[in-house]
Amino acid sequence: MDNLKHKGIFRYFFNCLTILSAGFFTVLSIYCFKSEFIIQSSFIHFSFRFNTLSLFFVIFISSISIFISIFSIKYGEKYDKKPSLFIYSFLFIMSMIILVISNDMLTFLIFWELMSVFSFLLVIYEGSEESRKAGFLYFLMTHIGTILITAAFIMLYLKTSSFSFDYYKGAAGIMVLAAAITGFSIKAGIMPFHTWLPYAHPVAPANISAIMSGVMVNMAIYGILKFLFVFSSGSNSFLGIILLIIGALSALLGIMYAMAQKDIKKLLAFSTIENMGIIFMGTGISYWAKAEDFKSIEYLAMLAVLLHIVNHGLSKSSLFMGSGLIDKYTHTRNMEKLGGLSKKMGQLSVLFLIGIMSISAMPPLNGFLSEWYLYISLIGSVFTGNLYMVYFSIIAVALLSLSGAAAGAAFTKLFGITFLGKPRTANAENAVESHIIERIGIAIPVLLCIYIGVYPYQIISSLDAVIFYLTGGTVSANPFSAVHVISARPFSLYAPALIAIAFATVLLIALLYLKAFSSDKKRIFETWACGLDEKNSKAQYSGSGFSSSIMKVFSSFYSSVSEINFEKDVKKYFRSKSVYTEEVNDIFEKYIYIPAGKIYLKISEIFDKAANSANINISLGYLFLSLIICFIIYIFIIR
Amino acid sequence: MNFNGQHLIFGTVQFFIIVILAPFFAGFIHKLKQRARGQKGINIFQFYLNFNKLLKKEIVLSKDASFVSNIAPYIVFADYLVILLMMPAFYRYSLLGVSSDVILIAYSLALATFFMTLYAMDQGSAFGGLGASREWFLTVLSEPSLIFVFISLAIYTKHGRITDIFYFVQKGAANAFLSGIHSGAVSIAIPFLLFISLFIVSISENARIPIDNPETHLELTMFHEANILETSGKHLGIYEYGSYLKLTVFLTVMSLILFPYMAVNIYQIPLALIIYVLKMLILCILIAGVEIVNPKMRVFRVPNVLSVSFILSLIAMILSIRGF
Repeated sequence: MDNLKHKGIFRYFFNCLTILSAGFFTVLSIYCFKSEFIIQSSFIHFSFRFNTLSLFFVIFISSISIFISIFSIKYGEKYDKKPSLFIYSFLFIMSMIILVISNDMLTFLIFWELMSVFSFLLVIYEGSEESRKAGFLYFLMTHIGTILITAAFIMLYLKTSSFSFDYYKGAAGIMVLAAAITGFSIKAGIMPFHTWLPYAHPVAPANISAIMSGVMVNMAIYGILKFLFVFSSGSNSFLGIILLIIGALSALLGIMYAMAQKDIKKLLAFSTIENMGIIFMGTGISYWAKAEDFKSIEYLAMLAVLLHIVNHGLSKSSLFMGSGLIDKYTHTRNMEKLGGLSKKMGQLSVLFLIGIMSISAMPPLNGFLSEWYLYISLIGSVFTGNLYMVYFSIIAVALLSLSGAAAGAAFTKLFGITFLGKPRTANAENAVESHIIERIGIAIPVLLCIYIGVYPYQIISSLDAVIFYLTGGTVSANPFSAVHVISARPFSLYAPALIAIAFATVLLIALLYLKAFSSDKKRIFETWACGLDEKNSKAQYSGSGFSSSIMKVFSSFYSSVSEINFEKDVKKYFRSKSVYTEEVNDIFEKYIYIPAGKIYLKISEIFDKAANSANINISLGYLFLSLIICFIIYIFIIR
Repeated sequence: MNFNGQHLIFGTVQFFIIVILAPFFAGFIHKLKQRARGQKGINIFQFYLNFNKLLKKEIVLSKDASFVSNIAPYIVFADYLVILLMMPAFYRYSLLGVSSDVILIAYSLALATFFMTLYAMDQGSAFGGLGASREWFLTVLSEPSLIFVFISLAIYTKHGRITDIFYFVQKGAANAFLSGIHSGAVSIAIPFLLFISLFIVSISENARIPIDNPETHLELTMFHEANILETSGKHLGIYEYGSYLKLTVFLTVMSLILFPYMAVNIYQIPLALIIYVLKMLILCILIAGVEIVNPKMRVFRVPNVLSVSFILSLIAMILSIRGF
């Protein structure tokens, strides 16, 4: 057994198994499109159906899992001593794939729960104090979500007296939708319920973080799309507006917190909250437009949602894989200890740069494309003249543009501090280029980012089928068809292929001009340091310095504590040592979660004292009391 | 929009004229400022000579520099050129007019900032990090105003492409001029508010005096200059030229809000070109005036100024929504 572990048999076997099964499920879902499977025995009844939405999600999950598995074939070697990682991650991915093809509520809930449990086991995999704490918080939050989702399903069952999703079409009222959306929001890490995400995603091994951030959070979006666009009974347009505003706030606060982080993976985790916020905004607009019957906006916003799911999945998984490689080859995730990695890890830094450009919505890459569609649908909802939506979409535009610029700042910080400049510590100094298989795993999603960014027409026409399934209409997009927002008149057009060609042409002409008219002389010399002859790489700008001016302006979003400790030293300006600590706390955590936790503990202490007394009479009394309560419930509620 | 040989040719001509004129406008502002301070002042075509001289010089790269330093100047330059390809200035059909979406333009400006700041951080100098941090500080604050200005224009005109937007504004203004202000959906308040808002954003984005002073190299005051402090030779020339192009982009949008007149056919081009240059010179005088009158302000007072710009564009947007 130990010998097998040593050779990494488990790693090869389960990663290849993941690739094969993901491929199998993709092929299965394409060939068995629109057919139904039922697995029935004496006590279980699983029902599956391959519809367009699940086909989209199966392909999405499978392809990203395949990239991550290719990456983990090499990356996972440091986990060979404890190969449960590979087994759990295989089961985790499979439970997600089966989740999206399940066609009744019990199957859905069972696989939802399996997904949560396996991801919990992966979060606590490292076994450190930090990971156990994060795992507990994740377990707690995700089960609150599951309770709400279950409640939504029970309400649906009471209404339709069926377990099958086929009977739920148009059955969900406002209570069901509210419960389901709250439950799924917890899984998606939307802002008031996000506290678990920045703890749980970073502590897992990088390949698992990539799956959790790139894929698992989207399962919540799958649930929300299913509830809002398939199960929803009627027009609750204000629900769409609430989703829009919550999404916009999540987008802004998520990226603002991301900017304050030092840990690379934590920064990426907060960026996931931002992107989930953007997806929620699109969902909200689309649902609102559905309720108010503005067809073209509904389709456009849905296109933005689906494209952003794909774009975020691709770029976030590649960035998490990249952060795993940084961790593996430098043994730290703290960007204040890194620097200069672009010289040591040249190819990885190119891939990482493209991933960063994609996620911070730089044209002409794919991240910009989905944000552009979101902007257009926001402008379109202003054109509708609907009183509430006009105001809220203006607010949403403001928050979205602010978060877009802040994303640029946060990711410039991430790339600049980690990859550029001089190495800050010996860890960064001794980094080496990663293995080719690891880079291939990152390169495929990055190349797809470029492909979707520059030539999106193929994927948009495939997504049209999903949009048709959810909304009953399609968005026609070809290189020169303008977007129609509300009337028949073309509103605007973003032709990425044209822009990319123009960019390349202009660049070529400029380079040819420079080649002809400029000198090619180049000299390598040291950086000017005001004439000081100091070789101190700590004298570079730090990550917290980079974001401090922005954080100062938006200080009301943070509750940060910074402290400077000087050694007791007489010389005021020539101190031998000074310590600066800065702690950025989440306002939700500080003002809601921690007080709520304290109150909960106090109440349970009171119950604990009352219930655990040694007196047998009191215990019998409790027994009697609970019987009476059950009896009352039976008489007045159930009968 | 259909492709037409004429549009293609004159769109290209327009592009080259703007690109060639860009250093002239910057030089004009500089000359005005120097004369107002009582200095003799540079040659008005000095920036062309500077560019030419810088191209002939050798590049000194830091030994800490990576691949980013070798690509960033060209990407920034090409990015500004692509933005200019979308911009109409004196001819209604720009070369990339089909895809000249306003949000694309705003995000393309952010792309240039992104690469310039990465270049700054690539050298391992503390100044670079400082410049990058401050540049993003400004961008985070001014990007919402810029996008609001653009989206207000889009809502006001019900068009999303910058060429269509200004063609609509032009038609509305012409109608109002010919048959009185009550004749159509034309507003004076909206362009006025947007002009002031955009003026503030241009001053902050183009490193002009109340916010930044590109003439000094004092670390306390540097924004833009700190980013390109380590740059030399060809790279410096490209960055400088890029900053003239950026200034021209902002001035062109302002000139079109101020007095929307673009040639719709080739016979109007000479007149439109003359009017364009005149408008640009007036705006240059305005910017030079602001730069002369104001002292440089504290960094943490900049958010106040930019929030004024944001509020003005918000008011403009609310006014433009009232239209329907």
